[in-house]
Amino acid sequence: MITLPKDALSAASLTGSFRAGGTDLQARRARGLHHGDVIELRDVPGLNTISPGPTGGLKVGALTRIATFAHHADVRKGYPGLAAAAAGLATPAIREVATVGGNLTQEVRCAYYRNPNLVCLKKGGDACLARGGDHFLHSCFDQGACAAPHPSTLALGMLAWDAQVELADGALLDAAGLYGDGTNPRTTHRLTQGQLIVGFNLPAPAANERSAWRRVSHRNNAEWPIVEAIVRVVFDAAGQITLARVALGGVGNTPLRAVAAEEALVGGPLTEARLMAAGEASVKTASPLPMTRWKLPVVVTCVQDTLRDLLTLETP
Amino acid sequence: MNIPSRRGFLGGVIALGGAATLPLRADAESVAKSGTPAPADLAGADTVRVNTQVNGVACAETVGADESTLSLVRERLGLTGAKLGCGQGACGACTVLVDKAPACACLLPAVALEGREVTTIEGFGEALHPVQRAFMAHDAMQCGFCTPGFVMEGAAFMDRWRAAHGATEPSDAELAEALAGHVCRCGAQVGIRAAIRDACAGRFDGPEKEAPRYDARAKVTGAAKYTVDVMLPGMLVGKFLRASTPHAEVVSIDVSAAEALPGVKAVKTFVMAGAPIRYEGQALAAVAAIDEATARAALAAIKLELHQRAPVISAETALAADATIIFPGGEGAASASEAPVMKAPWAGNLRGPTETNLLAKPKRAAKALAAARAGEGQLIEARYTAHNQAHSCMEPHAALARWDGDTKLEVWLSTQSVDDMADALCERYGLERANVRVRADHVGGGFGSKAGVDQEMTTAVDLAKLAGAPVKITFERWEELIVGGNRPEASVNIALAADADGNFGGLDAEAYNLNGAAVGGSTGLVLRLLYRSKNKDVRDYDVLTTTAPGKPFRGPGGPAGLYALEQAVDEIALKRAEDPITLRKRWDPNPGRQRLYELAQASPLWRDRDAQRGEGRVRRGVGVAAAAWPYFLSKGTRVELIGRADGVFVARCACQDMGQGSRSALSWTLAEALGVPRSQIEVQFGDSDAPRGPASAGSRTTPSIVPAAEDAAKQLTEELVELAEDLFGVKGAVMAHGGVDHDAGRLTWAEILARSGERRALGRRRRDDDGYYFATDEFGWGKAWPGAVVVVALEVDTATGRVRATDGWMGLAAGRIMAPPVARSQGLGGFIQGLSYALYEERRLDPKTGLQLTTNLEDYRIIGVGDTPNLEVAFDETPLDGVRGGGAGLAELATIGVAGAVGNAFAHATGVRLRSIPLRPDRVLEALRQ
Ligand SMILES: Cc1cc2nc3c(=O)[nH]c(=O)nc-3n(C[C@H](O)[C@H](O)[C@H](O)COP(=O)(O)OP(=O)(O)OC[C@H]3O[C@@H](n4cnc5c(N)ncnc54)[C@H](O)[C@@H]3O)c2cc1C
Ligand code: SF4
Ligand code: FES
Ligand code: FES
Repeated sequence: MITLPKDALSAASLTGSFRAGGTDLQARRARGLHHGDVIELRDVPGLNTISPGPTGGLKVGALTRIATFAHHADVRKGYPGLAAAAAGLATPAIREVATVGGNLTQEVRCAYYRNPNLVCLKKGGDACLARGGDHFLHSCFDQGACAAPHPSTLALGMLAWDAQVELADGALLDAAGLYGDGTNPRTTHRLTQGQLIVGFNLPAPAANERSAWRRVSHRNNAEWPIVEAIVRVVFDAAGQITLARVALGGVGNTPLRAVAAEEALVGGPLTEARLMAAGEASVKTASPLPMTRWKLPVVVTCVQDTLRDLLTLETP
Repeated sequence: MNIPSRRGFLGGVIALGGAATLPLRADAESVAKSGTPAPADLAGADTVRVNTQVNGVACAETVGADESTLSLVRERLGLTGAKLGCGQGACGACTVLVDKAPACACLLPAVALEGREVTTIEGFGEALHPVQRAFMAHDAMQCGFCTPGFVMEGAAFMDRWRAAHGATEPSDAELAEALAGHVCRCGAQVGIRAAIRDACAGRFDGPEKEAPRYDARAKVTGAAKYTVDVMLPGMLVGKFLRASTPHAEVVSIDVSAAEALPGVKAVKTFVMAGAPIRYEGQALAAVAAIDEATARAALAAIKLELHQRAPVISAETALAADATIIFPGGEGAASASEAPVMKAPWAGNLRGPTETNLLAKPKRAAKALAAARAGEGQLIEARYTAHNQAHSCMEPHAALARWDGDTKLEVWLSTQSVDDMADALCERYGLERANVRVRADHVGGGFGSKAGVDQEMTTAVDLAKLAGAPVKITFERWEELIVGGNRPEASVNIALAADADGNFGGLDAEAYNLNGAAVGGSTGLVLRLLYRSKNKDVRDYDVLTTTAPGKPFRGPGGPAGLYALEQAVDEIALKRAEDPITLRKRWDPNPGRQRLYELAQASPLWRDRDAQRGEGRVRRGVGVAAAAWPYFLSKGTRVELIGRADGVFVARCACQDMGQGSRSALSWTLAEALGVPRSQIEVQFGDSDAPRGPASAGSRTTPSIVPAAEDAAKQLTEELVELAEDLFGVKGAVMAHGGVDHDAGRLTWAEILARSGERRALGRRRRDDDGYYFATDEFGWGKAWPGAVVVVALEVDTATGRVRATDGWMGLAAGRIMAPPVARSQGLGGFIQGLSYALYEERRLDPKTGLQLTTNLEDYRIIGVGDTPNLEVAFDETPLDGVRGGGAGLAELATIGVAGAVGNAFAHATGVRLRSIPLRPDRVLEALRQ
């Protein structure tokens, strides 16, 4: 069955699964991984706009298509690292259909999970099949339960800018609130039935900040990351780093901050030595699985390369 | 933009490749439902009424919650240009424009189209978009199945680009990003990139030009019909119930509940109690039902009880002392080979050795190796492993069968051999050949996986008979990747020696072919084809595992065999501190390759290779490999040539074009033989009612059909010369370009035919001067040895383990080239497929359950536009002695050497020899660490 609510509150009152772009939901339904009713968000008005937030920053409607988000002038100007990430994820034809809200709440891509004949922890089974099986592209920061890397690229933006999602009932969730700490394998996000994301709120960027995104994958384009990083660095007038964020995707069951790397950056200028040290520090708390130790040097390199990109950017 | 009228696709009829016009199935349904719009607001409903515009025409349809935009345009509106390639967002074949932006139609729900505007490739109309013209001119396609998707994306990109940058060239990186997510299995990426770049730069704003490829226009406009596009009235959907476990015994199977479901018209089982399941995806039952959903429900209703057995997925488990025997007594295994399977002993799951030492001197090989082990000359002893590769044609396996009573059968089939399949159906169902027709107007790739009698064909036929209605079976992408066909994994243990003078000393090789539940691996055999020394001892073994049977794949055994041999040769050259090409020149007597070695060695790519290596994080390397493949043909081939009264020449043959360009080979060679423009030639393929045609396998199509067509042209023109004298009363008529010269002037063929009326000739594929090693009408092995040399340049990021090919050159010495631009595409396609194999593709299996993990095109990685380097293909067109027509096929030759060159380039770049592919980052990092 399908329902077509005409506003966010009634959408939130219905039972079933929200459908935004459908690029994840329909892929799962086609393979028999998802059943049940669909709450089609097509007719919910006002959720596909990008507007200035009350205290600066941007309020991004949950139904904004990723392509629109990626090319929006304010996003590109204020959050270049996030705009680049949005413009580089998936494929152009997916980005044209997929939405910001759907991206943040999509399911993992683990092949065991996506196999309709297998029941793993995430599907209510009693074991993570990837751990005992083939997991060479899985997490290298093991949070203890599901070993699948979190799929959302835009979620890295939540970490880098302390962004929040806004729900239909007005509640606000930060990344920790939305994703938890990765110890509950059953869910890829913590929303429950009826919790509809209506917006993605980006705080105003700092006066003097730079950000960048990079991904390492086997092929050049349209491939899920081995690791990806959004880095954001805020400078004071003297060029000293006052705040740093290193957000990592493809490596943990939730989007992750490499706090040790951030600490290694703060308190001095962005130099080659500093960024090299930050890269090394980014895997300080890593806990690779038997088949993912190889990812660690790749994470280090990815963080270093992304930070190095900041050096060549114009000061905003 | 020229918009087809609504009547064109919704007026109730569509035309099907010349067949009768027929009502569109879904149309009747939507009309019936249009009176009762379903309000699916808060109350909910099963369907939703959607108002949209398709190609400028208003369209109101009542769609289900899960119905996709792709299904709306294809199934309901009959706009079949957009294709279902994967259904999971990862291939781009389904791309359409929604509000002018390319969108993924397989995942976009039709419900979401309310108030929006859809443009499909058909909406571009007859006045082609510059990108379409560029695709035609650049021959940016082979099978054409991916083409509409690429064209939609490319056209939208060009329009945006021109608006922002004017008529300028985008960079390769910008093109790669724009085309990310589009998969081309045939390997047309180089042409695609060039076409879109040139269209952006304004080079195709002018009028349409004739394309080198015969069917290019049909492909860029979406008009080309593939088996998956054919829809018949009352057609049922057929589906397989496939084993979801690799190894088991059937305890019971009960289909009664499935049979009882409304809408289920036929059920067939393939297994009974006690039957073994030997691989994941093995067909257990099949159903035919009124639609996809009912068919799925029927499969779900089948009750199956299994006794599980341990999976056997690696050589280690297969050969362990306590291994479960997959084929007790060696009975019943399929063949992964296209040649007859040679006898060999069985020992558990091991079969072999297969005798491949015909005319060889194994003792001399042993002696040479012993000398090398004692310190004379050079010796290399190593094991090389090449992984399993899925054919994964962009058009999945598909069959549509229709019976007319009990005696007449018509089958649309995605096949590499309409003729052989018609024969097989006659035999299987006891039918007259005249009453069986197999058709394949266009085939979306085959690569060997569609050459045999496959279950989708026989099952569609059986179900159609049971149901009394046409049945279509189309593989889903996961089926394609699991059971659609694969190139067996292989490990080759090699001992290779150079003697004290640096000459070929001896070779001992043992190849283990992991064909899954099949026999007939031939990786070792390939080592006999290069370096024609007799000092060889080569053994092939089959290791049986519980994975889907391997199938012949473009040069069966070739890529793995040459990956091993060509690296071993490289290692010897390194030990001798000798240029690897110089060493090959001495070892390899093949005259064609001798000429190619000269070219390769003189190329800047090769010459400057040491200077380019680099010391830092990124290392560059250049590697070479040689390739040899036999020359095959079908001597029973006939081509009928009809000179029509309107001056058009029609060539008919029960052949098929799955992208290799055989239609083009005929149009080019006939145009030349007759002295008429190519637009005067019509080529009719893909119909078993035509005269005997070859299977398009074993690179044998071109050398079979071209000589037969030339023979027909010769007969027909001789007759026309005589007719000129008889009908026009002229004297001294002699054949000339495009007609006859006579004492008083000139007559064109068209003038003669206008008076004589239609004339026909049946051409035969005349015998090669030197005869054959072996030949039946269907399959012959001729006495020429085409060759190839491949040079690959790549770069290795030593920090991330990523390997990227940057340049490549391939020389092909296969004699005369029939339609050079199209042959070039085939060469590039082989090259690109080889790079994809060596660098990216890999089937992954769960070590515990033995289930396949790579079941979609996101996990199974095929090379993208952004990974495809600059590639060059050069032809040495020296005619092959004794070969009728002067040229052999090159499909296989063009792919088999690439992996070896990649391996050698990697070693050159890093100084580390990695003896297994694909060159995955984790594997590369591990190798560099040691
Ligand atoms: C080949 C390929 C490559 C890809 N690569 C990447 C990549 O690199 N990075 C990346 O991030 N993604 C990638 N994706 C995934 C893609 O980005 C997601 O499928 C997409 O973002 C999901 O958005 P959607 O609007 O289509 O979501 P839907 O499919 O509509 O929904 C996804 C899930 O979110 C829920 N949901 C949707 N909207 C809301 C809402 N407003 N409130 C609460 N719940 C909601 C739905 O119920 C559903 O469970 C890739 C996909 C493909 C096919
Ligand atoms: S990694 Fe997560 S999704 Fe994959 S098998 Fe384990 S629990 Fe399931
Ligand atoms: S069919 Fe839609 S992306 Fe493959
Ligand atoms: S031409 Fe691209 S898949 Fe065949």
